Order: sequence, then C-alpha cells, then structure tokens
Amino acid sequence: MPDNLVEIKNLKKYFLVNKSWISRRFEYIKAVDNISFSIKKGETFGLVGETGSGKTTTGQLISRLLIPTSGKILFDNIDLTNLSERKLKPLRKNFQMIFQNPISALDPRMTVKQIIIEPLNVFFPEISLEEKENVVLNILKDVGLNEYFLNKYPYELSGGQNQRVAIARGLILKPKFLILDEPTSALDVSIQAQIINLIKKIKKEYELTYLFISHDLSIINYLADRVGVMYLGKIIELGPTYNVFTNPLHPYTQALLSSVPKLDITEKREKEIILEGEIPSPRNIPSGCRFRNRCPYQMNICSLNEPFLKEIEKDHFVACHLY
Amino acid sequence: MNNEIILELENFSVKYYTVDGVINAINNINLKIKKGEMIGIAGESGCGKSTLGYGIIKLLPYNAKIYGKILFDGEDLTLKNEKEMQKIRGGKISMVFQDPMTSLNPLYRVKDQFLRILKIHKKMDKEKGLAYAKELLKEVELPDPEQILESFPYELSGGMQQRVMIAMALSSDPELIIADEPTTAIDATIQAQILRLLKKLNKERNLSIILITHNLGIIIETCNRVVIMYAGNIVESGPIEKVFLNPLHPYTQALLYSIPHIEKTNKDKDLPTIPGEVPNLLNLPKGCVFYPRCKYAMEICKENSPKLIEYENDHLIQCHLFNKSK
Repeated sequence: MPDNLVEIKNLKKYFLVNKSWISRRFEYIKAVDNISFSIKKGETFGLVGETGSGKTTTGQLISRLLIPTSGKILFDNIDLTNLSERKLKPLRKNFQMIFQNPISALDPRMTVKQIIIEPLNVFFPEISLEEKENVVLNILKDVGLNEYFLNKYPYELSGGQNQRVAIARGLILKPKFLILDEPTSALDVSIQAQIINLIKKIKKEYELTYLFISHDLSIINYLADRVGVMYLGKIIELGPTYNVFTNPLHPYTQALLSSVPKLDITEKREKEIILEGEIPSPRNIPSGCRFRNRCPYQMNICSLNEPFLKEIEKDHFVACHLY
Repeated sequence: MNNEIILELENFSVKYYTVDGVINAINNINLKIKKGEMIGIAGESGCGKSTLGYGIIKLLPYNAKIYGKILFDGEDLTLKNEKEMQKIRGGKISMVFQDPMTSLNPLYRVKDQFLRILKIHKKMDKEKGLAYAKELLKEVELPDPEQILESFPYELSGGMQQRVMIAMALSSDPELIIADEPTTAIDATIQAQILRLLKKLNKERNLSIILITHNLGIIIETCNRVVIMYAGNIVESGPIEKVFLNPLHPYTQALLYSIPHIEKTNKDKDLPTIPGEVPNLLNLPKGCVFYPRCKYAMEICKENSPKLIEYENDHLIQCHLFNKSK
C-alpha cells in the first residue's frame, strides 16, 4: 500500500535575525522556502544538498523540533503543524531522530543503559524495571552491541559504538519513522560502512520509514529510494534515486554529481562540470531562479520568474526554466 | 616531472609521551617525495597521517619526540633548532590547514597578514608586498583582489578563505606544500574548485604537494602517487594507477570496497565492512598492525611484523602475503 506516511505542503521556515551586530532592524533568513513533498510508507527518502541548503532545518521541522513559519506537516494523516506540545508528546514516540555527532547527542553523565532506557521511563512509566532492562538488552543486540556495554559511559566508547547506542535509543519506542541527519559524517570510512549496513538491517526488522539527510551523494544513492535535491531552501529536483542519478535534469544536480570524486580510475568522465562562484548567502537570495548566478545555461527568464517543480518523466520533477 | 628527490624520510618515528604511556603515532617509516609530485596520504583517524604532515616541519606538541631523519634538499631537519626551523616553515615548506577560519587571524585584515609573511620571508616593504599579494590572489583565481586584501577573514566565505590560505602558502615561493585535509570543511562544489586549483599550481609551478586526506576519491582525482597509512605504518604505496587498479594490501582493498560507489555498488547487498576498530596506539598488536582485523590473517602475522617491500616497480607493500612469493 503506497500510502503517504509524511506529507509536507508549502512548508516555510524563516528565521528572524538582526541585520547587524548592534542593529535593531531585522531581516528574515529563508532557511526553508516553500517546499512540498511526501514520504511513502516503508521507503527511504534522501535529502541532499550543501551547507545552508536547508536540509537539516527540514528534518527538524518534520520532527517538530522547530515550529514552521507556515505550511503543513501531516504525519499519518494527523496535522502536526499547530499541535500543542501536550498533544504532540504522545505522538512523538512515532518519530525519532538520529543526529550527526553521537558524542554530543548522548548525555556524557549517563551510562548506556540509562540513555537507552530514558525514553521508556518517559512514555511507559508503568512497566517494571526488569522488563525495561530486557527490552534494552534486546535492542542492544539488534544494533550489534551486547550487555558488556550496559554500564559504560559514552566517552569510553568509540564513535561507531556511540552511534549504535544513539540508534538503539531511537529504536526503543518502536517508532514508525526515523529522521537520520548525516548519521555517518562524523565516522571513519570503515566504520561508516558498518553503520550504513546497520541502518539498512534495522529498517527491515523494525519496518521503518526513513528520511535520510546527507551531503554525501554516494551514500544517498546506496540507501535512498527517492531523493530530493535542495539548494538555498528550495527543492530543485525530486524523483526516484535511479532516475535522478542516471539522468540528472537540473544543472545544479548535474554539477553536484560531477563534483563527486570518482573512485574508479579506469572510468573517464565525459565532461567535468565545475561550478563557478559560491553559494549566495540566504540573507540575499537572487531574484527569480536561485541558482542562476552559478548556472552555465542562464537565460533571460531566469532572473524574472522563479521556476516551479514540473513533472518531466514519471515521478521525476525539476524546477528549471530549461524544461 | 624529473626524479629529483625533494624530501626523504628515513626510519621516521613520532612518539607522544603521555601520562597513560607512550603513543606510537608513527612507526619507523621510509618515504621519498619527488620534485613536482602530488602525493596523497590516506588513512582513517588516528593512523598518523596528520602527525606525519606536522612532523615533517617539526610542528608538534612538546610531548612529542621525533626519531630518524628528515632529509629536505639534502639537509637533515631533525638537526635544526627552532630558529632555523622557523625560516623553513612558511619558507621552503608551507602548510595549508583543514579549517581556514581558525588558521587566519580574525583580528587583522587579509593584507596585514600577507604583509607580515612577506616582510619576514621576502623582506618586502608595504608597496611591493601589496602588489605581490595581489598577484598571488589572482593566481589562486580570486576575483577582485583589492577588495579581498581589505577584508577581514569573517567577511569571506569558506572557499575564499581557503584560497587566501593557499595564496599565503605560495607567498614565499615554497618547494613543498603540505595540505592537511584542505577541503574537508568545504562544500562539494567548492571542493572541486579548490582541488582544480591545487592541481594547477602543482603543474604550473612544478610544486610538490603532500595532500593529506581521508577521502580516497580526492586522491584518485588529483594525485600521482598515494601512501596508505594504518596505525602509524605505511601499509601500501605507489602510483595511483597501480594501487587503485590492483590494491594489494587487505586494508587498502577493504577501504576501497567499503565506500558505496555511485555506479557499481549493488544496492541489494550489504557493503563489505572491516570488522572491529582501529587499534589503540598505546599498545599496538605485536605482529602486523592490521592482523586483528585482517581476513587473510596467518600464524606468522601474529608474531612478526612485515616489512615494506617492493612488489613491482615503485609499488610498495607491507604484508606477509607478498613476502613468500618474492
């Protein structure tokens, strides 16, 4: 059943900031500017983009760690957008978040057991301690650790082991939906592969749906079923991973794919696209298409009108005046 | 590229003396770097790749001790005192660091930081220095050099800061640049620009560059030769076509295959992994350092540590698997 688990409609998040250090005048930073997409039950949706593209803000909006400026977030057909914290709390166990740096995401003063058990204490205070400990042990085994780690503190564990603990904490409430925000960027290559395999394994075992946020295209390609490419707060291309990676339509996606260092030296790249210039500051976004000042195919219309997502082939959308 | 050797490390070791014991950051390595060569040093955290970079110019904390020889232009740097080293650092050998924001002084304009270096290393006055700085900024492809010279570092983006750092590193006409993860803090599209720039400088100035990175893809795209490090040892080194087409060491192989590959990786299969974790440098395994994680581990690996031998021309390997055949 390809039902949508998460649906986002015209989501916006503007941050109000001072214009300068001592100024009393304010301006908005448009971190996420009118994006819409949906995540189907059981799929892995990848969100990719560079620093400042708004991918992390999107993740935090969906988990309601941030309150959207406008727009709608539907989770399992329930509108989360304007729910009060009190009404939201029982729903929170359905969606959990895994962060980039496990060392700073785990409380340094708690043992592994206390860290993993804490969500249970919050949501199910009625369960006996013994039962909870049993659940913790099972989860630890699922993430590839064992009872030896129960009384360790985060500083005694390596980065990979800490990330496993963070994943165990995310799983303990049996959520339906996990938001993974760059879960492997702080890890070494050999450990990264272990965690990626674990993320794949638990998805099957726990029947999860993922939002996977990353700047690493090869990981997104490996894990995601569908992918959204973000640039300066907008989704500029959206579609099944295979289509987007083999037939990238937006000039930015093409450049991004071309900038991934190739691991195979036998393969000759057809043409190398290196973008000129830098990502504009989200404080002053170019008029019309946000990408136009770096785009090799810039046309007159690009500075006048903002392109909207158009369906070019089945399920493959792009926001560009070329199409 | 000729075969003149610009830097040679002989039985080079670095040990850190700490309260917990002696950390063997680099164990007895030998390495030659040719003039005009771009050499990549790859490995995971704690493998000693950064210590190697800093060790070459003796820029290590007080509790570190260097053993062996560092021969640069025929002179042994280990015999030089701090004052002589200061002339070499930022002179004949320059360094580009990972995070440009923390290596530029936030309180001074770019031009003042340039002038200071040029005064010390080139004895240039203000007028000459500014003209020369402008030229350097043009060489690193920065638009509008005048305005950049007047800026403070925080006014520049990460990519621009890194270009300024590279321009500063070039200001003393160095023979060797050590770049420690120069693009790790930078976005993908800007990373491609910086790498293209380093490669251009390498060709146009016949400059030797040591590129330290954990990203094998970057090395394949930019370098001529690669050195793979593991727990303070060089486990494999050679021209990139040889090492990456025919990786010999089990660690190199595992490292290459554990990265998802955009075209080739089968999504339905798990990624090949290296079991376990990097060994603790406080007490290294007795035999081969990779033995506890190696899938081809043999009896001999437990007892004897293998030596770095030449497998074929210029392709060196440190593994018992290749000792017997030769």
